[in-house]
Amino acid sequence: MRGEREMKRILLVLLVMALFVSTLAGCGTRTTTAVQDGKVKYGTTYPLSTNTTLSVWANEVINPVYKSYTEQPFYVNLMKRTGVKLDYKFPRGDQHREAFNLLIASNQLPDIIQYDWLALPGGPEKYLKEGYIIPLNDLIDKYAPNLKKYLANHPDVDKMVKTDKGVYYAFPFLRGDEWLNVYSGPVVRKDWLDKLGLAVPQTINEWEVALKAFKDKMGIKAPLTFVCDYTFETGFLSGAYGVELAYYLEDGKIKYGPQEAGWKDFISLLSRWYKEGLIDADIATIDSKIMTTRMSSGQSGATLGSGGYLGMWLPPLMQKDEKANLVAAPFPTLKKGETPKFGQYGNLYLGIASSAITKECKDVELAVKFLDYRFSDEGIMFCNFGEEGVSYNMVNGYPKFSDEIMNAKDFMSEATKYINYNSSVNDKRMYEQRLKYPQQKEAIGIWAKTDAKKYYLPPITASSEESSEVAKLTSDIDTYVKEMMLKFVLGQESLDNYDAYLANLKKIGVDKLITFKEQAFERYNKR
Amino acid sequence: MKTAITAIKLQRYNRFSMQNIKTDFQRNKHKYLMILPVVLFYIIFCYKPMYGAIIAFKDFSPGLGIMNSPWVGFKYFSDFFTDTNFWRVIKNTFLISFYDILFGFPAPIILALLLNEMRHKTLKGTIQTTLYLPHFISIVVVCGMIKSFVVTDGVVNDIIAFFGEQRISMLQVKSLFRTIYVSTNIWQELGWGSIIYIAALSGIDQEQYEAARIDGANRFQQVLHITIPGIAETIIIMLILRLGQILNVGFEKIILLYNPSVLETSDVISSFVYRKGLQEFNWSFSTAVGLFNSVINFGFLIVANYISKKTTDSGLW
Repeated sequence: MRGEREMKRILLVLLVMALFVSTLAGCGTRTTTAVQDGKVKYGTTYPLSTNTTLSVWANEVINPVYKSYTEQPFYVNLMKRTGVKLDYKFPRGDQHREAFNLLIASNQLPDIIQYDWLALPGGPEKYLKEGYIIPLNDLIDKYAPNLKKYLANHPDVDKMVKTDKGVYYAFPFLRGDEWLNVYSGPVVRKDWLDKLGLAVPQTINEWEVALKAFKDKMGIKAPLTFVCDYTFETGFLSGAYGVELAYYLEDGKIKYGPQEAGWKDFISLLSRWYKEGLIDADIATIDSKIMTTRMSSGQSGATLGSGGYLGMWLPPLMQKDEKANLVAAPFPTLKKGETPKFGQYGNLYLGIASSAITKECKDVELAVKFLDYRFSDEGIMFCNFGEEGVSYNMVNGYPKFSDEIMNAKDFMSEATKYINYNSSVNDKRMYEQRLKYPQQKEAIGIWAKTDAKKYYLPPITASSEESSEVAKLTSDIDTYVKEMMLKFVLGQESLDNYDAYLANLKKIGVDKLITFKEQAFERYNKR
Repeated sequence: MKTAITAIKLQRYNRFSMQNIKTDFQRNKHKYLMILPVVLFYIIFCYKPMYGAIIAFKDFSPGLGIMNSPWVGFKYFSDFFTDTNFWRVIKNTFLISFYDILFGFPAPIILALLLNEMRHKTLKGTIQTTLYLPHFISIVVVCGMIKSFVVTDGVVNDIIAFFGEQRISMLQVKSLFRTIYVSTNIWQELGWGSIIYIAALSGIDQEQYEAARIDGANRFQQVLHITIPGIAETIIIMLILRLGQILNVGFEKIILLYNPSVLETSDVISSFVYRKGLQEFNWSFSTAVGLFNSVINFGFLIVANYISKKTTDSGLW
């Protein structure tokens, strides 16, 4: 009897404890940031001698050949070279945004988070202000000579990688050469053009002639296909009318393409082409997978592609028909000989893959030194080319990838076993070697001949106070514009209602957003 | 003697006295132990998170925590109610749910009735198993299949073209979105949904059929007067539960199928919140909408239950 009563009491206590623990778990306990005492614990030579493990959450994809990063040569070598043990966590590729959301909400932060801070609502300033990540200015001065040197030599980049208040928030991923900023543009079936006696189209009219000929003379069902959003962010076709699906800089003012005068002409053109069957009938549902099927099987004759896509589509095409040829075309203009106003372009600093140090980091010096390794000469070579003698060899001062990589069926999937080019300074010589076919090599030159740089906005950021309003306006406008664009093109909405569309755009608050952006641009210039 | 009577009286009237709880606990301790995991499950996963719902009234930031985030009152509710797309998403959610109930709810019942009439055991088993299969395919794969079926050169268009009609890209036609959504839903959940009705059917007393046959009822009359009344209670309970989820149109299938050109008919509350949550990282807004959803759903559940009690005498409570 006594034993039973005892049992009951224990059970009750257990129950209460279980409840208590589960309530507590939600709150979570927080420790304060490790204090910086100013003493230097680690020398300046790599590998550093330490037993501390750094935890890193990185939006990277490990090479699928390996079960874990601990087997992948790049990560193994990174640990060996820096002397730091690493505990990596990777989100699933297509769910990184949700995963990041959860990571932040969980309040269990790793030492280092590598993410695109600029793409987050509120940007880096919000995360600095709310204390998730720490400012790095003093730390870079003290412990990161390599990054400091690089930024001092590249003042334009230096301006991009800090906040309006001049705070460095992360170790960036940078492009080492302007040449790397352009990688995408129109591509067209050269062999078909040859058969039809046409030249590579340069103007909108020539494009129309070529697409019509594909359709009528060759019986191609979907002459022009593309992934909607991305295509018009580059200004393909719309650029001829002086607009693109983006916020851009013109005459010192910020403009939004979809409310400028040229947008209606551009939409009318697309709508007419769609009606005449020159554009893929499934255009609203095209994703990169369907686009690849269309292009590599000859269902379509033109699209907006990239150097990488050319390398992916050419082999299957040539396998079926050895004369098949896909070449880059310039961004079209209205008049022959004009320089295109827009084209695909990007900044040297994109925002992606930027490593910030969190408030939870216990050994800030070690984290900074680990991240700084990637900006040392040795680290840049390692991130771009891997191990000398294994993945590359120096030939006349040029780092040439091994035959194993150069002859692989897929260059990138072989190379990424050893390299992680987007975590340091991207070397042009790495990308050059990726381009295998002559069509790929000449493409970049053709696509780069635009005025896009003149109109391209630097990475401006909203202040933390206005961030939630900016985020709301941006997403509301974006959703509305993309919906209306497709409706006009597909003929679901008559172009007679175009003025109502413009009025709605104003009502949602596009001018307010542009004002915010102009203020942000002013702040940027003052950095 | 008198005190003893009082004690008994007290015991009867004060059922929750310490003494009573103790004896009850002692007598039924094994039963309590058995139910403990269930109670814990509900406390931990259903009741405890309710506390978090207060962030719907706060400008929540995980850095500050639930308690320290500032109060904003009904700001997020009014943000939702005044959004330009509010009525559109409400309408779409109700319509998709309505069609899904109208066509999707009777389908498994009809299937169960048809299967019940089948005599051939193996054939019946094969059909059942085949119809369960789609339920186990991941929604991402299912939507990939749907997409490739309805594009201009897909199977569905092949059939349409065979009858001499024009090929159309169906996911770009706003009037077809609900049809595609609901019909594929039925295809995927038909077999799985019929299980509970098949189970209910097996509980009907076989003697009733015998009696009906002696009275000269044909098979259709047997179905009408014995089978359907026999599973009526199950049907009503399932319907009430289904009505209690009227606003829960999941976002996965929607966002996998829609594109901007059909937002007008395809954008539902959950996809709207998903888009907002992802682009704006607004936890409080999502919670406010979630709370709104629950209140409406709860209302439907109560009304459905009330009507059912009035008319058929059976209900959830």
